[in-house]
Amino acid sequence: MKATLLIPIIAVVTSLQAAQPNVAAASKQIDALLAQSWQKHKIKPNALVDDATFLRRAYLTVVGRIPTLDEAKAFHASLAPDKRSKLIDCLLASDGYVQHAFNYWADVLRAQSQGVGGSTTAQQYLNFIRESLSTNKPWDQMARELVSSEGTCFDTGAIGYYMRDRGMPLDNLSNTTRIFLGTRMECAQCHDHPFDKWTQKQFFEMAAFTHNMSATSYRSKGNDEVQKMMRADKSLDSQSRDLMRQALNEAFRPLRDTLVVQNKGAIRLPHDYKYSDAKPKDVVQASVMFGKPVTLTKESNTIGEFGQWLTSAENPRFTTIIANRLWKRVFGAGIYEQVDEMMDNSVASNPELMRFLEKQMVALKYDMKAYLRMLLNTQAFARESTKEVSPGVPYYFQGPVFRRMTAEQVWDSLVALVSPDPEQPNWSAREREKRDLENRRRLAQILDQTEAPLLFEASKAVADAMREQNKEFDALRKELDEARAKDDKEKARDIQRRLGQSQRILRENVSKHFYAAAKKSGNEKIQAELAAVSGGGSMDMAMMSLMEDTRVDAKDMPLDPKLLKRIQADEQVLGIKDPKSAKSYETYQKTLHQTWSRAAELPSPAPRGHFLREFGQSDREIIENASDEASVPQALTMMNGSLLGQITGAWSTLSINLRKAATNEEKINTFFLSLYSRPPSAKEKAQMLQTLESYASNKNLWEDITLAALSTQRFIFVE
Amino acid sequence: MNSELTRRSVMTRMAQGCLGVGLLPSMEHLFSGKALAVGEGAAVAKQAATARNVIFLYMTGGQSHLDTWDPKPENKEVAGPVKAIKTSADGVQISEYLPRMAKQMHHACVINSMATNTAAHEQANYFMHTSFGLRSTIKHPGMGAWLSFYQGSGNPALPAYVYVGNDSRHPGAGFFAKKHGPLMVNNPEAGLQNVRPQKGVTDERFALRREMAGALDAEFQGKWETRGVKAYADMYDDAVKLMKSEDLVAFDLTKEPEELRTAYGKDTFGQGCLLARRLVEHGVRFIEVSFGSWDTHVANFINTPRLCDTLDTALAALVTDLERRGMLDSTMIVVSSEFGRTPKINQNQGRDHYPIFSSVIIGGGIKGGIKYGATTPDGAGIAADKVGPPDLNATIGYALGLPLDQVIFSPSKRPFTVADKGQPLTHLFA
Repeated sequence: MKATLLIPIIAVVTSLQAAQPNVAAASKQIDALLAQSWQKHKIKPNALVDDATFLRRAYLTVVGRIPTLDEAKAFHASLAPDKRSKLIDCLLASDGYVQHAFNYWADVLRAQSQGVGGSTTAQQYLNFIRESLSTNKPWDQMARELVSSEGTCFDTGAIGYYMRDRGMPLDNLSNTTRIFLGTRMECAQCHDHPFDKWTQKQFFEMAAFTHNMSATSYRSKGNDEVQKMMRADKSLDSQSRDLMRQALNEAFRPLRDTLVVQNKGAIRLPHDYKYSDAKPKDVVQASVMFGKPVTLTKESNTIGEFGQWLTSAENPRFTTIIANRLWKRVFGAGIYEQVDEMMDNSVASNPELMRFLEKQMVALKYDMKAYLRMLLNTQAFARESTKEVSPGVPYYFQGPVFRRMTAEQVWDSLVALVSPDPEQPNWSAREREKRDLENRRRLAQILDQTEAPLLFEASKAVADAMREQNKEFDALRKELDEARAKDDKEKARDIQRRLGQSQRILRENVSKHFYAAAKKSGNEKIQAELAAVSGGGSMDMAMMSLMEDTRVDAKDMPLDPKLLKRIQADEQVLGIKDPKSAKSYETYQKTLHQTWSRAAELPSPAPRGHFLREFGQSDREIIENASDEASVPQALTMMNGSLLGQITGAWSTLSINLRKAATNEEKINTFFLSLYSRPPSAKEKAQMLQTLESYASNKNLWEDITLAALSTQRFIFVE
Repeated sequence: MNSELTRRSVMTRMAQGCLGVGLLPSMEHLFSGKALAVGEGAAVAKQAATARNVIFLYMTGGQSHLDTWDPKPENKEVAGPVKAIKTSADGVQISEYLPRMAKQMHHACVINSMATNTAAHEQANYFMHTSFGLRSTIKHPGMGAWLSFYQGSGNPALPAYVYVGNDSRHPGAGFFAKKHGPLMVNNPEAGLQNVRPQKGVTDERFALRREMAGALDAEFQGKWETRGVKAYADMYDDAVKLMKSEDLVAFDLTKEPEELRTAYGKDTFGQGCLLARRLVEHGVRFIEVSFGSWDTHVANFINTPRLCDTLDTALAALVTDLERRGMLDSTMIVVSSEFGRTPKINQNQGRDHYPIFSSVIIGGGIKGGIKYGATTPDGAGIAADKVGPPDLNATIGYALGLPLDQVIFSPSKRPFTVADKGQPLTHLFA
């Protein structure tokens, strides 16, 4: 957990390096190239913004939320002449940067917590993105890892890239060219591209590189051998075989969708291929669509070669696309539009600038933070926004483009009003993932290394047990029919409940017998793993804990000393004295992360109906599927949603800050800084004082004022 | 918003210029982002519509056709303990688990020859809802979104399309603008979310908030007079209007007599069906109610009758209710699932996934009391008249008067038609 940004801002002058000189020079160069373009097109740049606008914009652009009261105060109070560039450094170094960037890349990469690709891989995929951004992994490396990783999710979460499109290798390739090369090929999957130059054959030549990336169930030698033994054992009847298979599947079930392997198979044109350059069902050789040709030999790691070609600085589009994508992140529009729909005749609105940015990207070795730092330090970023940019008309970047906050920015800004530590990780979720991953890894090791005959024996033991069990179930079913005939509902319900236990009983049997099998193994490693597993509970059920999902209680979160101090200070402000109230305030703070974590810490995407989805968070089903369209349910949520009550509740950070302010004037100041990142204008202050006076009898006046402010457009649009 | 608009404007040019495809007025609606008044620019139907509304009852998880609409009493191994019963339609037998529906089958057309192309839930569910295969490069619209796109909303105060259920993967609007997507209702008894002020917020306080919001925002809205800001200003006005709207009563099930509520079944599905009828009365034209899980791998003969009881109660009540109100001719009820279940009964007394299943259509101009298509006596194959999900959706589209051969381009410039060239079963209409 990092402290809020308040301390770094004050200390930043000494503790952080000043922006590197070459960054400053590059930023100036960008401004110069923009100025040339304005002159050429006879347009004037927008005026420069004041500190408050810059502050709010910088926070939203870099960390994805509005500044907290303390952060806003610190910035406004600072007299340092270079406080803006210090702020940029500080924001880029914060956890908030990672969370904000995560939302973007999770949209682009369609990373979901649930869905295709078992949850262990899905979580590891999300963690791969999170960690790559956290360590500021160079983009070319991150891209290469995504497209050329194979193995289990215990090796790398990057395999989630192929797991995500499991069974859809052609769509996966279309996504790959779109994401990394800004080139749309999905039309060419079925026929020559009608609007671009790509032929269907070219599509298949490209797909020849990636179609062998196969997302499969966990493969274990033991499992294959047991299946073989079962087929060979003529003493088994078909029912026993079915039951044994079921037992084996149940043991391996938690490991499904954890492996991506590179097969070696030829790819053929479709049966209805209709062009003259090849025949239907012809085998297609891998060949790149542009750039330096790739020669494959029998020994080549096809996917590795593909990754190298894709992410090379010599690739004609790889650098342009990332430079343009990040430019759009900062300025709200791309130099090329669309950022992911480039064609040979696409024209940059400022070709010299585009070339310069590409060169910088390469010189910075695809360091995304350094590149962003360069853009954020331009004067162009410190200009007033342009109201609207017409589609299809080139934009020359007289300033950034006026935008609605993304769903995540709106939500994360609310989090900043509620939580004393907005960037706090979702401890319960992270802890649960960590334990699940460790359990699955252990299960994989045990099942991998237990000798096949032992696994066979275990499957057989489970089958025998289940056969007995099924007899009991059959008897129960007869009883159920009788109970129904007599209309004895209570008895029927009771029998149904007992019948409903069948899956659990199966799992218990699997756990028991496979544990026994592993115990008999001569493999020392397994014995060590088993010793580590059994922990406290019953030995029989030890395997069960490896197979089931972990439960974590938020209240068990260890209290960070800084947070503890803060809680104690809050208790003073709130006048909490008795131990019982203190305890419940502590529990509130400990469990806050479950609800009021930043979007990047919640499930990806948030469940349907969540505030985030209502405001247009992408479903992450297709690339960048977020929306900023207005809707009536959004307005209803902002006006009447029950969640908003927690922003105005007594224990929210906003309420505590308002309570700390002694006079009405101070409260108004706190309010404007908290919601709008600026002190009130003289007129606003006078109006507000008037309101406070007129409605002095309204005990919930600050609640009403806050909800009014949240429903303003000033709150959800970025100036 | 910008990127979408650019794509759409490029699209419009492409579609008009390169391909000679004309745009319908309501399509331009999508591409230009301009709002049209309801009814304005409605598509000219290629065929006369036979139905105004659709209530689509979706059986999540793969309904066992063999234990519901396609029993095999003469084949004990396939049927298990399930018997078939006679119905109000000559020659139409259904499972004993659906006794109430047996009395309504003279209204129904049972399609026993449904065949899909996969036995995986997600893919088959998507295929049934959209007529297209699940792809990771595009999302296709559900049928209600196509209706909304072509013909707009039946009542400007209410959404065109409502989904009652909790499947977070519902395709919704697909590549159309979000507003063509369904309004999602999780709990039919809870009504619309957030349409009432929080407890303790009096009219005065609510008015004070609106007034203060106006004051805080006046300067900003003056300076930033953009389409986006204006859209939000309108949206707040609309939301306040909706809060006071008389049409909200469409969502209020307490307005129904207790007897009728009980007749539908006091469970989420039954009340969802009742809500669907109320919404139809108030001008909502496409409502989906989902119900399940029918995924009976284990203990099929315990779970299926339980599920059937709920379905039977609600569906029979809905048919009776619509008929009594004279709404059955204009309202088509469709019962379908993503796939069916195996003729083979597995070691857990369950049935596994099977790509053959049954659907039922009632009302909305369809002939009643008939069966269409058949499975083989062992239930393993289609004996005659195979019908795929696109054909079923084309039949729905045909009934609603949607132009089935009109090519629409997605924002990514890919051409699509409603129901993806499925053949409507026109001969099943009266």
